[in-house]
Amino acid sequence: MDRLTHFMQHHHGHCDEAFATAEADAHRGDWSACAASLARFRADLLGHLAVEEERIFPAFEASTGNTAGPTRVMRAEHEEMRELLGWLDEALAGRNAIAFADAAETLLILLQQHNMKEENILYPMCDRILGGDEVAFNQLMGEVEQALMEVAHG
Amino acid sequence: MAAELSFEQAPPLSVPLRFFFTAPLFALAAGLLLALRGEAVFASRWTPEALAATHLLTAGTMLQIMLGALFQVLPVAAGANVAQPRLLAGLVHLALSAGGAALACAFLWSDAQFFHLAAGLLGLAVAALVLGVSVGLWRTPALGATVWGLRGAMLALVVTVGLGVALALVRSGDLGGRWMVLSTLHQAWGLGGWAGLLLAAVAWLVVPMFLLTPSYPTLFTRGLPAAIGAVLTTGSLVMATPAGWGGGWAERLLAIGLALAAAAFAWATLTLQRRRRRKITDACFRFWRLAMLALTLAAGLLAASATGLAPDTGLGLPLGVLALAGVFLSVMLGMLYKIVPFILWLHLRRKVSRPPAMTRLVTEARQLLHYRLHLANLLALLLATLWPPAAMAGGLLLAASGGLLLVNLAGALRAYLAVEQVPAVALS
Repeated sequence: MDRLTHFMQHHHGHCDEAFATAEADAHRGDWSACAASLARFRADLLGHLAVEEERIFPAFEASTGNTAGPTRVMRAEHEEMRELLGWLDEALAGRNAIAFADAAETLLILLQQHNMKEENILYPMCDRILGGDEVAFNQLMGEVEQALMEVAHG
Repeated sequence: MAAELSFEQAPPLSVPLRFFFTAPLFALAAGLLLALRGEAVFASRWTPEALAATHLLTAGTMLQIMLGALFQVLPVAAGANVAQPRLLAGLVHLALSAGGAALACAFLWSDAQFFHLAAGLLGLAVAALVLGVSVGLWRTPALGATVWGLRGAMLALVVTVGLGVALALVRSGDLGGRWMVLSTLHQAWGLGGWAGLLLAAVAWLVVPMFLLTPSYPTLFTRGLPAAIGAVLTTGSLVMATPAGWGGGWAERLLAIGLALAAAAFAWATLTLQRRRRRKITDACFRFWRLAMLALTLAAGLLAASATGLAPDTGLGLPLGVLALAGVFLSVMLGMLYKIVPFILWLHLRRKVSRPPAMTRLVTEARQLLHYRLHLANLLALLLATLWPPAAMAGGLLLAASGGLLLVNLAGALRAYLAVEQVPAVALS
């Protein structure tokens, strides 16, 4: 009943871990480590956003007939996160620890309040609404798990 | 029904900000009262000055911040949309501000008319708030301990203000003096129920969020609010029995129950903070840690006062200082410095393509300065409970803390307005 919530929540934690490493690397001024950890965080985050935008949200929108509601807001926030990833890249390129900390804090707050809305509201709704059609739901979850697994190992 | 949900219900900027900008004014007033009449405030917690100062902080500063945050958080964290937020916030804010000021005047001048005015206005503010948000809060599709915590907190707020209105009527002479024993319940429901449950409901969300700690155990997030609710209800029922009325049993039960809940919450939070993945010691983290240490100390004093290990008299003042300034003000200051830049940023982002980072709206250095000022303030107030002449310093530091909060929030708003006006200028 909470398969999607559980899996996606777990992956949020995975992204958090990568974020914390990149932030700590920049804080220490270890820019080569930061380049590697930021690349990992970027892959995890972008993979997560893509799986939502390409698989989960369309399924939710098709089931509810609502494309202007929560998923539209979630997509807009995804755009903001992608922009803030760009801020982190700039700070890394300029080896600017203060700019990195500013961008990291801003992205973290944005990311966490976004995750909170997904975990408390949107994912449970997806489980409830999409879980009704067991075959389609299993297929969707198979695709989601596969896609995020590939990011993790890619 | 579920598909109607939208996350775009974050209220207009003016809705939370009006509360956040009013809160420091009450802290300033409380600080000045302490500085001018400190000896009376710290003579006993029942002096008119002590009651006025307490309520400037609780019904003034704390309630303003908590209600402002509720207006912001209910739609986004709990999926509970507020109908007509601008109208409702306007009414609640006006009644709350005037009611808080009237209550302080009522205590200082022992004036029946001011007590009537304060009771009416604060009752109106809370009734309007509850009517405005409860439909959304009860029908929300959102799940989780936070939603239940918020529901419990709202219920406790209604009880607290209901008891407060009754106590105001005792002071105005409309009700007999024997009803004054309700003040124990008023404090328990206010600090343990409303503020405590709200603190817990917020903590379940933000402690893991800002510091990337593991989540609180589910059993704990469900059990603790239920236990607090059970303690408050049982204590109130015992108080209502002939043996309990004035017999001290209800007081003891409430004190021990709430002390245990407070200690468990502080311990769980400090444990999670030690396991944080984000190894950054920012001002927000310091404010939270200070709050949890103050809560641990307060729980110890509360238990000691109830079990007779320490004489009851004399513990009320340090307990009040620890709870109000140590626990709740600390958390609220730390949270305001996260919430205000965040909501300003969200609004800016809609207007300009590249807003400044949230951390530029109130810098870490400013927040750290406030943390140090607040810590000095807390220590001075604690000292004043033992040595009343220190109240002057405690009061001035409290006023300075209110002033600095106002300056920092105004600085953030100024930065917001400066950026916001850029495109308008370019267009003209």
